[in-house]
Amino acid sequence: MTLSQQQWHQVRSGYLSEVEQALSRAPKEERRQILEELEFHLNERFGELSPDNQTFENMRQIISDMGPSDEYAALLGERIPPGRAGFLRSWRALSLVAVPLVLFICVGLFVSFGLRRSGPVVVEVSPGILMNAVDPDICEISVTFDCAMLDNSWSWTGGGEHYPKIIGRPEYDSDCKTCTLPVRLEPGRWYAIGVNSPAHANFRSENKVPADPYLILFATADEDGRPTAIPEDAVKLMKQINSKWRRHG
Amino acid sequence: MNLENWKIQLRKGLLELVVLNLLCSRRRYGYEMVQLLKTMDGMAIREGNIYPILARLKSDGLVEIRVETSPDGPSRNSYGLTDQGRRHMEEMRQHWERLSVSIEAAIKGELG
Repeated sequence: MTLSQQQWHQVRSGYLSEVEQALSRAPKEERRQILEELEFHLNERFGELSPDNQTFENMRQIISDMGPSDEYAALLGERIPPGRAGFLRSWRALSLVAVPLVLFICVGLFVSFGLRRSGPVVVEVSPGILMNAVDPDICEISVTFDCAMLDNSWSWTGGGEHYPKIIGRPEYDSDCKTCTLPVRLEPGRWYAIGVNSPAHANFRSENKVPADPYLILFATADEDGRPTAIPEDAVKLMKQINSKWRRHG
Repeated sequence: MNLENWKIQLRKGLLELVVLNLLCSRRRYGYEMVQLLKTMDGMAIREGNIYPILARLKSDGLVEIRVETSPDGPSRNSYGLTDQGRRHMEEMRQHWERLSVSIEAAIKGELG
């Protein structure tokens, strides 16, 4: 990943986080739809910039063109419920909230004993992270989770020149723990592809708990079979994104 | 009265009508609609604004979304009108036609 791409990633993520915050009280489905579209739109705008024009100023202009994040809630209008502070000022409202809340917590604690409380965990990816002499003739990338995932639901995320060419539809194996993505790779190139992202989180357990975003980073061997270097800033970014993951064993 | 604010409010009010009409002829992507709006004099919007509008239209049952997977990159949402959306759009069009005739008459001093 170039320095400008890394900068863009940070600028874009910052804006999406602001919008997500502004829509924190909006219906989940509408929030998800808006964030998905925004991420795509932002990537399209950045992709239209030539390498020489990928300046920080132009990135800020793209964000400015999108508009301030606080406009989103206003445009959703009546879908946003009244602010919590105003609601709780009323003692009657407080009692309407407190009793069901206590009950909900008790039931939730009781029920969650046997249920998975945390998201799915990646236990294996192929190619492996940071492998730098991957056979370019391999035709699939896969991710394996520690639990059965929601079938026909995935978010292979990312884009740009280091995103692998997708040549088919993803599919799960019979126990829905491993998702395989058909790809075509080229020799002597490094690749980055995400499992979920802040705006796309369709890799979910059967209980619909989404997996944390995870970045698969690897490189193919060149035409002489030699390893290909992966840029240090891409490795750093991968470590930042993947740092939340717990591993088995 | 702030003229810019008036223009903004007017544009917001008309945006749903325009978006529904853009979807009348065929399915479109959100990004595509933003580019089209930019070509309409007076209708260029802050680019992100269309997405809450589309989310609202979808929640109201006027628009439906189809996720289209692409072999070349991430999936995209395309938007189309529902039957209810078409009926709603038609009513809005008729109201707009009546309103624009009245406004035109007022501007030309033909009232009273």
